[in-house]
Amino acid sequence: MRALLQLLNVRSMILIKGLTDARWHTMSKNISSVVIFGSVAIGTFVLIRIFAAYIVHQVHVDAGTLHQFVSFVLFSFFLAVNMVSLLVSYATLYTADDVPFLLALPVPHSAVFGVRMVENIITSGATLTLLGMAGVLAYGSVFHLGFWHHLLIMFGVFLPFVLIAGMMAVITLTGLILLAGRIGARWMIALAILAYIGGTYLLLQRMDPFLMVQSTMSAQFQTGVDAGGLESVALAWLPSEWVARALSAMVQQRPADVWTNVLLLTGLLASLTLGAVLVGRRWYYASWLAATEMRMRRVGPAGWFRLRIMEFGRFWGYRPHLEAILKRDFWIFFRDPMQRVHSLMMIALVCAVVFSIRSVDVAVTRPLSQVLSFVTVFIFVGFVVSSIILRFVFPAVSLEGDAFWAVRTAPITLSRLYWLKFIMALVLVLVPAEAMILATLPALRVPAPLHALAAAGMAGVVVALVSLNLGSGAYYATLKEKNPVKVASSQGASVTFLASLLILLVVAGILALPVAVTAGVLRQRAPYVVMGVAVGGITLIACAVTILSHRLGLRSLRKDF
Amino acid sequence: MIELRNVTKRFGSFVAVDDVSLTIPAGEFFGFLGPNGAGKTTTIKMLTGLFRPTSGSCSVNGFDVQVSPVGAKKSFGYVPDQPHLYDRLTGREFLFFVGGLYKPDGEVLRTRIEQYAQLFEMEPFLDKPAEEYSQGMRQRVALAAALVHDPPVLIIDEPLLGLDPRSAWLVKTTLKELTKKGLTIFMSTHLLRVVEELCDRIVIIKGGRIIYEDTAKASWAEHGLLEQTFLQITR
Repeated sequence: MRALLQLLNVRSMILIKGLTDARWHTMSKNISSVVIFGSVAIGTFVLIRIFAAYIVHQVHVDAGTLHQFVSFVLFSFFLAVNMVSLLVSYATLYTADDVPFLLALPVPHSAVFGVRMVENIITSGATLTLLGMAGVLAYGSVFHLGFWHHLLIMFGVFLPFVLIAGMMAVITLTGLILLAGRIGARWMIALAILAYIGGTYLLLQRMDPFLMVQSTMSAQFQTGVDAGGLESVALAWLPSEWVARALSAMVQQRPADVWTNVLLLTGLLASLTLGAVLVGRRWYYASWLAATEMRMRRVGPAGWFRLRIMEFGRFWGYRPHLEAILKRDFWIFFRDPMQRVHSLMMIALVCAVVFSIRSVDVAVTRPLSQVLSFVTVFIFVGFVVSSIILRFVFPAVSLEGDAFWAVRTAPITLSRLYWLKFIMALVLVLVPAEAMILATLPALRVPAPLHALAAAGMAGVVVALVSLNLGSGAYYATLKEKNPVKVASSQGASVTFLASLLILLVVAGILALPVAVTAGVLRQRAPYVVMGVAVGGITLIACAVTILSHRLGLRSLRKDF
Repeated sequence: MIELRNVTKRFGSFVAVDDVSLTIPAGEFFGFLGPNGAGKTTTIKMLTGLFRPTSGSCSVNGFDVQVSPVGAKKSFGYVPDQPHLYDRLTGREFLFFVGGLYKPDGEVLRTRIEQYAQLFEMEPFLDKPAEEYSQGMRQRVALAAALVHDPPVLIIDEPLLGLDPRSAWLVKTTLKELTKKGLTIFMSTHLLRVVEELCDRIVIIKGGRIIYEDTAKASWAEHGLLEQTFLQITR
């Protein structure tokens, strides 16, 4: 326990020194973080409050449907925190450079495990927790809950819920690595993917989100419709369901139910904490050894994946310096198992989003609902695109790594290197982003000009976000960090992601105007003029973000190495 | 060939390099010495464009490093004190990558890589990923990368760090051969025996300022004399 406290003390001192650093460069970073985090938290609160108030007070969706909807959103949130914690934990618990040093110290392995686990949950879940917390508080505000209720929501309901998701991730990861040590990493990954797909399929069979969305949509036309039939699909053993029940019970003033669910959440959290201590004590070191041995056994660069045209010895005969950089980035990316796995996951995510939206019949006739559906689908697709950009574009400069000296002392200008990175990222993101928005829009059955408008809006979002993430990634670059997942989950990455969401929301807001005109919500005789103005506005935003980000990025790239 | 004019580098209030001026003619093997934290690596980083000088200027082969960085960088090869490579590339791929940045003829580049692979005895490991390399292996790959575009100037920071005796001998022999062919070498090192053996001229830097300069090799080349001089000056 003393060792654990000592390690925690050192880590908190590092954190406090970072936060209280009086140098202008660090202070500006910290202040911009606070401003962006604060703005997004307030923005999320306001947005969700308006949305929830509209659903509850205007559409009069009944309590049962609302409860199911909240439960499903929380379940998705739980999976997101769980997945991010799983990925970040692998980096910090098993591949971080300082782990061998910490394990060589005369401190129990469980202390190292405990400290890293707490750090992981805080760093990987901070942004999501902020957004989630703003969301549940907005929910409480719509139902006029009191101060103590809000306090209970924050510390008795939501915080345990996030910690449960994070702890389950770390414990599961340890198990997966031990399993990989026995049956091999590839078999373990195959089994994990199968289990994940199977589990998701079974859950969807029970929960059926498509049915839920369709019921919510139909409830908009028959106010006060009884959605009680959905009650049977509730999965009582999920923590997300306990949170939804606690919130619902607070609104309906059933204190006994509130406390039952709070106890369930805190009880599970306590059990998982004990479990984590046990896992740390008994299996962390064994799993670290297994992970290290697996890395040593890994197939080398001349392994299974070959692409002749990208081999270094074959010359293209055109701009050899650009060829060298393209080939380097290609091989460094595809030889990293984590990059390959995450690329596959992102492709699966894109397919899942397109499939999900196309499966739901969201063709609505009420004008305001048409606008809301259009904006919701645009934001949803934009959110996925932002996540892809954050994961793959933000770390691009950091991945130059310690070997950046080789490029910095070579006769290539840094602006050329920067533009090359920008164009590569833009092409790689723009294609799937446009494909996603154009594949999902037919589900809305909106007029064809709105498809073109959404495509133009998405192009603007992609240009702006790729520029922002590249520039900000250069500003917050950590050349010592070899793991792209850690770079993409750093504080700078969180700030950039929140800024990306702000840009996405602004663009969606601008797009809502011509959609509202086309749907007849707003009266305007020249809808094409409004569309033109909207596209012009988005282009301006994209240009402004691009210019500012590129200036920031290039300045950061030229810093002393 | 290499010129530093009143170069100063400050980090906040700390002055790492203070008004240093140096001229190194073509073909000279120049030794840059000094205790830890004296400003040697900072000077080298300014010379190679990795740091921007607070004031003053550095030029290589007539090109100002800040004003005409591409021209200057075409003229030199650089080996850092910690030669980090890309873990997921092989040594051979790294050499093709670095060579490619200098826009060479493909076949010439291939021939040079083969030549240096043999010279530095890198064949046994050159097709393995760099993450498996020892410090000595990295050092040899980095030296080959610095020479692969056939530069007129070589800037090296601690070239023998972490090398086993055979690799150290290989590197020393190669450097001697290169100076005979007219290459200008700017070398920073702590190994006084190597300086005695290789350098034509030395400069000792302490606290960011040049405190000793000697071109009369006879005055310190006798074994042991340089060590005494160094200890006395840097005390």
